[in-house]
Amino acid sequence: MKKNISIFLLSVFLFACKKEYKVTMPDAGTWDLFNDPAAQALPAATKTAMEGVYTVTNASVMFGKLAAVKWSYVINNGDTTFHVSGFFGTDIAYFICEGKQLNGAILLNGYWRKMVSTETGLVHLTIDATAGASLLLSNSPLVSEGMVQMNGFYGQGQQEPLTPLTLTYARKLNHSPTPFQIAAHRSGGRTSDLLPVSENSVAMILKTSEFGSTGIEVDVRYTKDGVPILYHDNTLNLREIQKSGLVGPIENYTYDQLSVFVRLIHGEKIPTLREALTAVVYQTPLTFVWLDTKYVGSVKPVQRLQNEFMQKAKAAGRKLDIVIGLPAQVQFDEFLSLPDYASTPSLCELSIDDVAKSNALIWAPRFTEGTQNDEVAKIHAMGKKAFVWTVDVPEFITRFVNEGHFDGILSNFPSCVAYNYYVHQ
Amino acid sequence: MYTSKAAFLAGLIMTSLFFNNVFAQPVVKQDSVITRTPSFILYLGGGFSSYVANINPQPESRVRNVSRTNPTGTFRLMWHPGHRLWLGVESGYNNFFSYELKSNNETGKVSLHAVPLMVVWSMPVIKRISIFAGIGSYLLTSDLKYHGNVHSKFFSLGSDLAVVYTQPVAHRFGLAAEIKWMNAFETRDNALGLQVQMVWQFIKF
Repeated sequence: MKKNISIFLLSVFLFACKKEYKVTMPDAGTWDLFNDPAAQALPAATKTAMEGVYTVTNASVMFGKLAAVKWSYVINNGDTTFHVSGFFGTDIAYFICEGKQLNGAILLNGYWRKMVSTETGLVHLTIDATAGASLLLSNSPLVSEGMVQMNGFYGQGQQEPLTPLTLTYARKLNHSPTPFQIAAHRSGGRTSDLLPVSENSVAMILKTSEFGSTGIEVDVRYTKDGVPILYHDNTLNLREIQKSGLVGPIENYTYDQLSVFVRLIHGEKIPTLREALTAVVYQTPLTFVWLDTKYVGSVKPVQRLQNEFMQKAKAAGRKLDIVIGLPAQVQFDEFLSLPDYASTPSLCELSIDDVAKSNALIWAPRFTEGTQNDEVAKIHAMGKKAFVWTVDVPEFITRFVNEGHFDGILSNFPSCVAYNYYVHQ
Repeated sequence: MYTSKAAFLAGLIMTSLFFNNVFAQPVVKQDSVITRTPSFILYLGGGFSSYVANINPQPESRVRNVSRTNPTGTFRLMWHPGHRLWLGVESGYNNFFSYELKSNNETGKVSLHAVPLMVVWSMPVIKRISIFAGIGSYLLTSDLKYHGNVHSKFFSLGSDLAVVYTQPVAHRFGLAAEIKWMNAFETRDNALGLQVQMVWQFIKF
C-alpha cells in the first residue's frame, strides 16, 4: 500500500501539468455587408465626433453599463488604418473595430475580448442614418446625449454575432487639463495575457494604441556586441521566445545571432531599440516612451538614440517624450555620470530627493505606496510629473484614476486605464 | 529566481529523506547480484536518447539537419540502507538536440546539451527490476556556432524516471538495461533514453 502511495505521489509530481490557455482571435473579415465594394472610409471629422462615453444596453451584464469609444491609427507602408475601440467596465472587456460608411449608414466590424479570460468573439455594429449616421457624416458634426446609437450584435468565437448590443452616446470623453498618459507595460501588454502579438515587439508597439495606450514602457538590454534591444527577462526563456535551443543570458549573444536564431513567442524578431523608436515615431500616435533600464552599464548608447528620435519626432511634427528610466541606485549612479544628465529626459523610480538630484522629468513610485497625493503635489510644485506603476487590478486602477493626482498610469491593461480615465467625471 | 530554485531543491531533498524514512520497509530478499544489505552501488553507463519534445527553430524553411537522437550517459551513486527505498545522486550527460540554420548563404549550428544533477530515490518493484526517480536540475548548455562561438548555460529544474533491469554477471557486479525519461520542465525539454550500465556494489557494510 505504502509503495503504491509513494509511486502515485511520485507520478503526480513528475507528470503534473498545467493547462495551456489560448485565445484564438476571430477572423473579422466575414461580414459581407462590411466587405461591400461600395463601402467607403469614414471622414476624420466623423471619427472625432463619434468618440465619447456611451451607455450600454442589451449587454450591460456582459460588458458593464458604460463604454468609452476612442479612435486610433497605425501606419503601415504608408497606408493609415484606423480602428475604433470600445473600453468597458466589466472584466477588462473591449472591442476593436474598423469603420466604413455604406448607403448613409456607418458600419463597425471587429472583435471583442475580455482580458480576464479567454473569451472573445466578433462584433458587428451599425449606426443607421436615423440613429446618428447622417449627423456624424455631415460636414461639422456636433454630437450630444442620445443623438448617436450603435446597434448590432456580438458573438462567441468565430460564430456569427447574434446577441444584441446597443451603445448610446452619453457624453464627451473625460480629458484632464494636463495631459494624462495611459502607458502600456512592455510596449503594450504581456505575452502571458494571450495577446495576438509578443510583448516588447514592434508588432505590439503598432497595436497598443488600439488598447487605449497613449504611451509605452519598453525594456532595454544590450546584446553582447552592445546593440540596445527590447527584452524583459535576464535569460532567454520560453515565456518570451520560441524554443530554439539557445539558453542563458541574452547578453551572451550578439544581435546578429539573436536576429537569425531567436524569435519571440508570436514569431517576431527581437527588435532593436532603433527599430522600436522608428515604429513609434513614424507609425503610431504614441506620445510617450519610457525606456526601462534593464541593463547595467553605460547609458550613452541609449541616450544617443533618445536624442536622435526626439529630434526626428520633432522634425516629423510629432509630440513625443522619450525618457530614460532609473529604476535602482546602480542605474541612477550611472546616469549621473553622464556630463549632460541634467538635460537628459529621465524618469526616476527612487525618492523625490533623487528626482531633484537627477533633474528627472517624472517621478514614478510603485502602486503599492498608494496614491501619495501629498508627495505628488510636491512633485507638481517642482514642475515635474508623477506616474505610478504597474497597476493591473481594475479596482486599483479605478482608485488611482478617481482619487489620485498622477499624470500617468503604467499598466498591462491600458484598456482598463482608458475606460476609467475617459468615463471619469 | 535562483534563490527560489535553491529553496525548491532543498525542499525536495528534505521531502525525499522524509519519504525514505516513513516508507522504509524491512529487507526484501531478491534474486539479484545486488543484495539488499546496506551498501553503496555505482551505476555507470551510456546509450542513446531521443528528444521527444517539440523544437521550433525559425524560420522553419531554413532549418536543416535536425538531430534528435544522440549519445547519452549516466553516472549514479546509490545508497542502499537495508530497506526497500534507496537514495542517491545522479549526473551524466545528454545531447538533447542539434540543428543547422542557413542565413544569407551562411550556416549556423545550434546544439543543446544537458548535465543532470539529481537527487534520486529508487525501489525494487519486481525481481531484478527497479524504478528510479530523480528530482533536481539540468545544467543546460547551448552551443552556437554562427559568427563566432557561444557557450551559454542555464539551470532548468527537472526530473527523470527510469526503469532498470539488472542482470548479475559476477560477484558484486551486474549489467543493467535502463530506459529513462528525462524532463527539464522549466525549459520543456524531454528525452527518452535507452542505456546499458555497469552496476558495481563497491562498498558493503
